Amino acid sequence: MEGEEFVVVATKTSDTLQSLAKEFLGDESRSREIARLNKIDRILPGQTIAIPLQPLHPLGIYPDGYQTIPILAYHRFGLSESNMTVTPESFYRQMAYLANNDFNVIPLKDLVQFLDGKKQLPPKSVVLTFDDGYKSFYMFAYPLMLKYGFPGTVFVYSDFVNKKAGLNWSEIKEMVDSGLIDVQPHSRFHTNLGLSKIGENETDYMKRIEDEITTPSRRINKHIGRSVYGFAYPYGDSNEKVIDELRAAGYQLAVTVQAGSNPGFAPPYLLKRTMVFGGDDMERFVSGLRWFEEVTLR
Amino acid sequence: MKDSAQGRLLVLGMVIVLWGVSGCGRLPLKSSTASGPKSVAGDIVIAIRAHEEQAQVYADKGMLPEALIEWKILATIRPDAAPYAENIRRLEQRIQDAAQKHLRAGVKALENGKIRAAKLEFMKSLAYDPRQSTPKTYLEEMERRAILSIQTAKYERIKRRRAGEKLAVQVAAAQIDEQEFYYLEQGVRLFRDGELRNSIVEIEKFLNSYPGDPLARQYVLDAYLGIAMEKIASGKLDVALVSLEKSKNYAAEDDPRPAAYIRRIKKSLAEDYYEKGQRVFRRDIDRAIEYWQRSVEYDPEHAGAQMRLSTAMKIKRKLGTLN
Repeated sequence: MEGEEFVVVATKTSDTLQSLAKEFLGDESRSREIARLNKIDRILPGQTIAIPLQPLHPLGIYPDGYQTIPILAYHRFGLSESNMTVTPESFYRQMAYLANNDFNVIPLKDLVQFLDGKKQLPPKSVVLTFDDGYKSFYMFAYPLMLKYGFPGTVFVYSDFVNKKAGLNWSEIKEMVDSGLIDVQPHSRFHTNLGLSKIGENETDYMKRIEDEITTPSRRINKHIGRSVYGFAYPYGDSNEKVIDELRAAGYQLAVTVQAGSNPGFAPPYLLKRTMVFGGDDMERFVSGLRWFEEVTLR
Repeated sequence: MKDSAQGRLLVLGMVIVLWGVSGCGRLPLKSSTASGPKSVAGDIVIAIRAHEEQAQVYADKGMLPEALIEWKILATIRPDAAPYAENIRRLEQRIQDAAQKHLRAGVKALENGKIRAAKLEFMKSLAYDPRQSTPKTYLEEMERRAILSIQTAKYERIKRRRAGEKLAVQVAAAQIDEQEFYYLEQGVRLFRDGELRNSIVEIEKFLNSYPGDPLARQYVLDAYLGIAMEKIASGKLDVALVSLEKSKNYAAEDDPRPAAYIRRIKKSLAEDYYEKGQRVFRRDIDRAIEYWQRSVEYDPEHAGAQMRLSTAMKIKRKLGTLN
């Protein structure tokens, strides 16, 4: 039986939660929604199963609290550890932790629909982002992302592409073509968009913002053939004018570097991100993975 | 929907219709043990009973949205069942009332400056009906203002610091509190490791926000001078000159080094190109002109290059006339 919000089916021998999710929702990763609604962890033949056609918990709000999505921000990778440089060993331990502790690494783009109440995200969802577009991401981190099948977003500032320590377009294209990595703008020159330069008048400031926002998206489109949806503010800094420009340019979300996780009611153009530092131990890393806030809401 | 899905829904639908035809207007509560469609019917009966019981349990506990889901599932199975539709209508009304009550409480708390209480009430409102736009908009706006106020405070700090503090000292003291300082720290580390070009990339990110910081500027200056020295040592004077020109932007007014190096390298380049012109003049006058022009560009007072260039140009004009 099919209504506007549910389908109810009698299961066959060959049915699984995943096959039902794929058949009726077009996405087998949504099997959790079916399992949760029917309070089951597997399908038996002859069961009557209800399948939700719309998110039952849009925005991730539950009676006992609300879901939050941590977005982690990395920069460089290298053998010499510093705040901005994470060693491959540390990154490996962190990715292994996510894999072994049932975290669901999701693409940044999924947040667009989540924040709009149109997509339910799995529990323990986390987003991985990589700022600036260092070649060391391609050398050290990307192979591990492939190994674990984790999606991630690289925010490049376009003036850095093809520079000595920066990714080149061929490497970016290769990663994007893998289907795991997407590339989004992090400005053109990596100037601070939140405040004007010394001696810069309002007109020049607005011109600079427009250039920093639109030029990298054009270049990404030209070299990679993809349109963009997300923006990472250099230094995480923004203001009302910058947000207006982003909205006008068609961006759907933007990320800061203010630490914290994002609920479904987070402002899409000021999403929080937690920086991962080279010297972080596992305790600090795990503390940045808050995925649920317990609070009695009903 | 795919054919197989339509097929299985059709079977289920036929079972429900059969109940109706056979007088099962009120749904039977016992499972059938017969095979075929009747056993399917039995499973459905069990499912219906389970959902009805669950709906009642949720309603008794005040878990209205959960109860509503159960009734909506039941209405999907039996779209013609009027009691289900009525239960759904009543529950939706109660949920809306509860959501509106919390929304009003949130607005009132906000008006009284009780931010935490307001946030909780808006979330409670959404917990009843997450598809409402008003409480979500309030929550988004509260969060937006909180984040922007932190950023505004940072801009005020940057403006004060731009006024003249020696900021790089803070890095040494590990008083890092902004991303700009992480870039500076990274740049200084790379500088010490001898990765001069990469160090400039990072320190310039710091200087984007703090363009007047003297110690950061000194690091970039020294990095450019270092690159220039490497290039001079390997005979790449043109490349060295590019680095030296850039270094001028970071040198203090009373630092004579970049200008002095640039003067010397230009003289040297002017002489090199003069000699190159001398070497090719007899067999390739165009090339010689090009070299002497570059020589004069580097050193406008290079008398030899000026004279040779002038002579070569005259010869070329005469050749042109003859041709």
